[in-house]
Amino acid sequence: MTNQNYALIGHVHQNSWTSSVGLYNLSNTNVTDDDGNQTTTGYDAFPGFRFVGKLFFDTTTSNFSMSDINFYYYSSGNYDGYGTYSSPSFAIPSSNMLQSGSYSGGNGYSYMQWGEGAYPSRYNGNGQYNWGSDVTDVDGNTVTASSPRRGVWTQFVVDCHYQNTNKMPAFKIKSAAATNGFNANTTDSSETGYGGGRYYNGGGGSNNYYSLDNFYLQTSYNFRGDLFAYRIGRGNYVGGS
Amino acid sequence: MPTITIYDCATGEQTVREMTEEENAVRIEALHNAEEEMKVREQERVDAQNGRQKLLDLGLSEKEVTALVGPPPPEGAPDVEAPDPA
Repeated sequence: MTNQNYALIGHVHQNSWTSSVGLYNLSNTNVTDDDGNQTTTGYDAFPGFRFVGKLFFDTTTSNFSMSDINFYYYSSGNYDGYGTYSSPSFAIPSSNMLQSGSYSGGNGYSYMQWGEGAYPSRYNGNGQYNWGSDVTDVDGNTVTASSPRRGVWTQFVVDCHYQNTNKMPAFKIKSAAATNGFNANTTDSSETGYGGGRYYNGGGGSNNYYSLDNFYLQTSYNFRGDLFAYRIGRGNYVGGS
Repeated sequence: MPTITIYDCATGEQTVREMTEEENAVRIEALHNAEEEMKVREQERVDAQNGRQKLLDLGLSEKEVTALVGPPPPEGAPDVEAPDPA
């Protein structure tokens, strides 16, 4: 395989319950191509981010509110304190965008709220999982309908791209989950293209730099699962063999 | 103090540590916002149910009310002691 432009720079396999997971130093990681050349995942060479994951929630609540699940994107560089606020929406783009703030440099964070794009993992919030009848897995083991293995996983992807030389970030989130019924005998699924949030921009004032260095997930309920962080390069800096 | 799992992409090291004061303040704010949001949503559901019942009391049929204001709101949280079968 030839060199590629996607670099997997971090993976958290969270196999115990927690309410917070972070991926740090997103812009200070070295990648190596097939010839041994090293490139740092900074903004010039790697303007894009992608966060992918799957989550399993430990709760008997029957649904989440938008602010139960949050992503935070921390800056350690200068930015213009000019935020874009968005109300929770299932439309793309959100129907309610508002820009406010001032041109002041500093450190801060952007955030997304997207709880309504996720499902609790237990059927109907009653402590059971109940995906149909018993089945046999590929290893020959019986998996009962009430096994946690039949619970609902929520999957998500967040893309962030520095869209021009002023390095103004744009975010997009999409999540999905499916179960065989939170109401009796129905098949339900949940999908959202957008949560609400506040997104700090750079480039409008004296500071043209917004350094997105740390990312973390914060939830009201405990979860386990996997999170992956990728940087996306302008060129093929990543060894593929 | 709650803990957080941190993966450092530069070093490849994963650690579990206590949250900083700032991180915990953000966490508490998010929890508070979630509670407030759920209260608002429950009140909206009760208002919708009450409004629907008033239309029915005026003599409109179920179909007529649904045509006017849409389907009835979902029921509240399920009965944990006696859940519906799958």
